[in-house]
Amino acid sequence: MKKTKNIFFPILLIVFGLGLAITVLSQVYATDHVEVVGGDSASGVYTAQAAVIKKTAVEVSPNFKLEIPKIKLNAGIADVGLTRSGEMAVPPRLAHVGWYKYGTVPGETGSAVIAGHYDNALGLPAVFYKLGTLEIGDDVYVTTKDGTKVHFKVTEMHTYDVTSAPLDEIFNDETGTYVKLITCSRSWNGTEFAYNKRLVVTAERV
Amino acid sequence: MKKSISFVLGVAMLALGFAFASPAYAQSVPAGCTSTAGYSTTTGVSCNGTATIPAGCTSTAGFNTATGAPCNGNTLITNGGVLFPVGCVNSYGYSTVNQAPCNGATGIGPNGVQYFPSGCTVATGYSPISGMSCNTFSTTATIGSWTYLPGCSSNTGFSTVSGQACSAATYSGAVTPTPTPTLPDTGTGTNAPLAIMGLLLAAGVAAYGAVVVARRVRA
Repeated sequence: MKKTKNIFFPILLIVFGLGLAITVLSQVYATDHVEVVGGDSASGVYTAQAAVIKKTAVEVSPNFKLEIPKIKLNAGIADVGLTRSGEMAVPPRLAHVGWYKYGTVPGETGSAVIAGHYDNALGLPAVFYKLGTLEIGDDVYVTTKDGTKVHFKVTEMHTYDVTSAPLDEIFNDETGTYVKLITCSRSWNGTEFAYNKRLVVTAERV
Repeated sequence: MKKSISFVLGVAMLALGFAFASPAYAQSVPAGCTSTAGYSTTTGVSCNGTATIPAGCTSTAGFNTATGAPCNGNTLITNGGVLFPVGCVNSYGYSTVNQAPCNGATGIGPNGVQYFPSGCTVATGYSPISGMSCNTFSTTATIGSWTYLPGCSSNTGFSTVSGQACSAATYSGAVTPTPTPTLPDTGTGTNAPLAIMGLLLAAGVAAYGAVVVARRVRA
């Protein structure tokens, strides 16, 4: 009985430590991908029932993938929409990138937007961690859902402030066939990492 | 005397027979009518024979070449560019003149959207109920880029005409399914130092507990 009493407190410490670790890790991998569904963009027909907010499971099509040889990136592409606050959503898995499904399809005229995480909550690298190392002329490949591999070359790289980014130019550029890759740009402000800028890499179809 | 009375009665009956047999008293109904009630399905004229030919019309068929009003005596009024049956000022309720439904509807027509005036099942001829031309009416409401079903003024609820769900409204505007989004939040390491400290603390506490347990078990 005395022996049991002696190890009760240290066992409590172990349980507390594991619980704290689980709590921290659950926050590390928690992402918001709640989407607002506004209608059938293909037909242009809307119904009252479609104007609902629903949580969707993010699926990755088997063929749909992004390849950037220079940074050894080969990632599955998930279809993503909007978050509740109106941001383009991102896939919950840090190894995936997300294509804005209400916008242009990669390979078609317009700007197809693909976003990926820069890091996780521990600051460890995610799928687009090295996106900033690309240069003009680097190759980008998108394999579409039907298996067609489309070749792009990087033509522009810009870093924008989140609040003043040219959204129409990024999402609705109809002057060519582009894929626009977006991730965060991180800086240390003395107390925490700030993510108030976004790197936008524009690649044009070859 | 009896012969005289019989003769007078005979003459009287003969006179009455001629009188009722004369065209002035014939119970004829216009073409397209089966009785004196309602309106002709072929000309729109009132089956009771009281229809008058309005100025601008040469018969009770067709439309007034000057005003566009039906020559069968019914008139359509405009209200914000929308035509309603005579006796109606909107598409609700019934005509104060002929009791025809102001929405003009009796059911869904061949194209699934077009509603015909009461008494019509096709877009030709005239309604036997109201005398309206069957090809003049559609009660679908167009508001902005939306076209609602008859009996609906929004895409919620149900039609007061047919009971159909109003959500079957169609949108004909530009395809802008969602607004242009703001940029995604792709960096989650804002509090990375804090998270790392939390993990280290958790590991330290758990490790300390494990060491203490091991020592006490050995002892």
